[in-house]
Amino acid sequence: MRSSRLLASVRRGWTISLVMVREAIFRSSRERQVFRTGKQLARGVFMYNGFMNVMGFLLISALAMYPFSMPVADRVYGFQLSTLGAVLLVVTMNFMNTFYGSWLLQNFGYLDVLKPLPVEDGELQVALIIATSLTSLWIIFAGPVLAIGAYASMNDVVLSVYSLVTVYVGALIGAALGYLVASMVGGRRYVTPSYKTALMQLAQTLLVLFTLTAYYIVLSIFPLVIRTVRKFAISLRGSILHTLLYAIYPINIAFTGGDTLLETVQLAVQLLWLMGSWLFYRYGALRFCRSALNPKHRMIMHPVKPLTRSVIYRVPASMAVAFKDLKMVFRDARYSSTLLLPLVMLIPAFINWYGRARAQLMILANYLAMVEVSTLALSLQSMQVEGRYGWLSLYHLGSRRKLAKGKLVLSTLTAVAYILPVSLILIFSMDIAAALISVSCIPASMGASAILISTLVKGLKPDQPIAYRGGYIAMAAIPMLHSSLSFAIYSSGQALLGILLGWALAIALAILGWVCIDKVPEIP
Amino acid sequence: MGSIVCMNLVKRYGDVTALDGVSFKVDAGEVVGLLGPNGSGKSTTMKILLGFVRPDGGYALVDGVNPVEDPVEVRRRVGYVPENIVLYESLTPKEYFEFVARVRGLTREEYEDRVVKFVKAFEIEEYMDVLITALSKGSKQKVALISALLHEPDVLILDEPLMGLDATSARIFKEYLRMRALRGAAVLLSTHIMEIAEKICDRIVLLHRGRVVVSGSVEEVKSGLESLEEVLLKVTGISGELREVVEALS
Repeated sequence: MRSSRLLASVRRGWTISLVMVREAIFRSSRERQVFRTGKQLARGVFMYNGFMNVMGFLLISALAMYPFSMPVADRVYGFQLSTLGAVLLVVTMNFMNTFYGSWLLQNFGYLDVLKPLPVEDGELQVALIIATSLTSLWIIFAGPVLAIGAYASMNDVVLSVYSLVTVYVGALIGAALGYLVASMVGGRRYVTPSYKTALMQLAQTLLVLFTLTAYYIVLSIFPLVIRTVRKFAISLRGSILHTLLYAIYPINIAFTGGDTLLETVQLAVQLLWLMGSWLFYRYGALRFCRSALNPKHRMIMHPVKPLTRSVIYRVPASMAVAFKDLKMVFRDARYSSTLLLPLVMLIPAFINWYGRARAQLMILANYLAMVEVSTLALSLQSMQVEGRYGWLSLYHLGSRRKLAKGKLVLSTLTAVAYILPVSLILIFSMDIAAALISVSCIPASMGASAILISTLVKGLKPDQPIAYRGGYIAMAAIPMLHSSLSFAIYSSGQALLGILLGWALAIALAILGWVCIDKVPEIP
Repeated sequence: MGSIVCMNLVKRYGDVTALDGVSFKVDAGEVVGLLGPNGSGKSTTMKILLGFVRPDGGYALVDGVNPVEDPVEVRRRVGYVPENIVLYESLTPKEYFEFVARVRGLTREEYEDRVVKFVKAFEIEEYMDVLITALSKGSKQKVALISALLHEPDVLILDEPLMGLDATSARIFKEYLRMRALRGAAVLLSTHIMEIAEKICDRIVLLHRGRVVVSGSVEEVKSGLESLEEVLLKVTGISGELREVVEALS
């Protein structure tokens, strides 16, 4: 009798939580103006959680690779350290995720809709646990990453399984603690922090986490399932697959143990990543391309015009626009996370670079590709913010070209800031060829950003999600191929060819970018 | 057969007394209008009836159930439309109705039968697959009304339910309320539009500064005055002030 009631509670809790999470994700994307007013800043928790997810996942990946940087004799020590670090990380991060998620769901209106409905406290508890667990999805992927890392460095299945289990246990403990503290701090009627309740919550969390694991594995494996449930969880889908996209990167890095076979696997995974992204966003991407190539919009396919105008004359105005945006960059969580992503990626890149193994160049290629993608994402998000806050129609009126160039300066600054230190280290390491390739990422990023920005300014409403999805993925493919291909050729021993290809692609992109951005029309 | 009883309700927020011994009842088959100026205690009374707020004195019974003791049971029996409607805006009306029906434990047949009926009556068929966030205020109000009526409750507590509704839908809703009352439902309705109260309410309870100042049938309450608006101005003692304000404006 008790078990059937519990089951019924869980079922109803599940229904409620799915709706709440969908609403929360929806609100977080719709209400990004919370950063402007500051009043409802806390609602950004779901963005914060998204950022935490990415951060956590990348840190776990760095930890998974840590033993690689040690001599074989010391790898047991390295493994112990990285497992301990991973467990501490998941406990802390899941605590934060659950604490903020739960507390905010209780206090910021997500439960108001449920007020008039006959929802039992137990059902609400289950709903809250499920809802907050959904924001900690990265842990589901973090376990396998650590396990793969452990297996690759130790070649030991038992230790690999051990690391997997400890991460999940740590996640559970963190979630239960976070939920309990949120209950006490939240001070609402929904939770009574007692010993018995704590045990119940732990049991419920376990149940929920395992259910979710199964649920998302199914979602991840079968794209058909994703399509079927698309209508049911449009917002969720975005977040899940976004997590997945980021997830494959570090898995891919973890694979690169140091021989040619693994490098090939790594490249294959990278290509799969691209294909997967393309498939996922196919409608968006196709629509984007159709729109971009539409003669009506006169975007990319312009005849090359002589580059006669003075660059120096235009730079100050563009810089002014770019710096006006800097304030927003640090106020918008998603913006900041884009900026910080390469920084996080820098950790595994340098850990591996420190090992000085020549095969680790692919890690560097990954890093540079990520910088290029992030630069693009930054341009794109910057345009979205412009659209959302209405600046396009206010102080930029009549000066779209200036605006576009300002955005270009902003995104280029980011690329330079992240790529130059890497290039300098490569120069000091006397790896001049790799340094030359890495510097070519700057004009490649600039060119791709310029194409993207001019397309958005001219042809599409910047706030359109379709532009975001399609543009991001379609354009991301170009710079990723640039750095991946040139480094792949270089690491296979063809240094000169790698440099030539890298610079040829970069120059082609830069010229195309220049032409596009120069064609952005002023408002008549 | 529903009923509502408020007996000597007292509610204080710090130094402010929101309700000061409010008593009234709504019998089965009655539509009672809870009227009063802003801050008179209407919403607080409704919140106590739903169990959102605990009274500092007195008690309330909704369909014989005390909302302090069993708020979930009260919510099971009541259809409630708040003054400021809150909906999950990432859902479509169809998804939202399904969600409410599942939480309320309706069978598939009950749900489909009722949704079809209400959706047709309130003319929102074409918006059933549109996200709620994209709907107009009036359409959102219709969604809130339908979700409050889906389980065909015997007690209806409605705070400004006609806000934003077009004339046709408002008329349909008023007729529906009368019909529900005839079938034994108890309806407590709060509104600032006196004409509506005059037309659909059997009795009026007029609150002012947390107290019931007038109570009775519409005719009794009007007691020779032209309209309920006149009654409200008279009993709240602001008719003289109002005249001065209007004269100052002119």
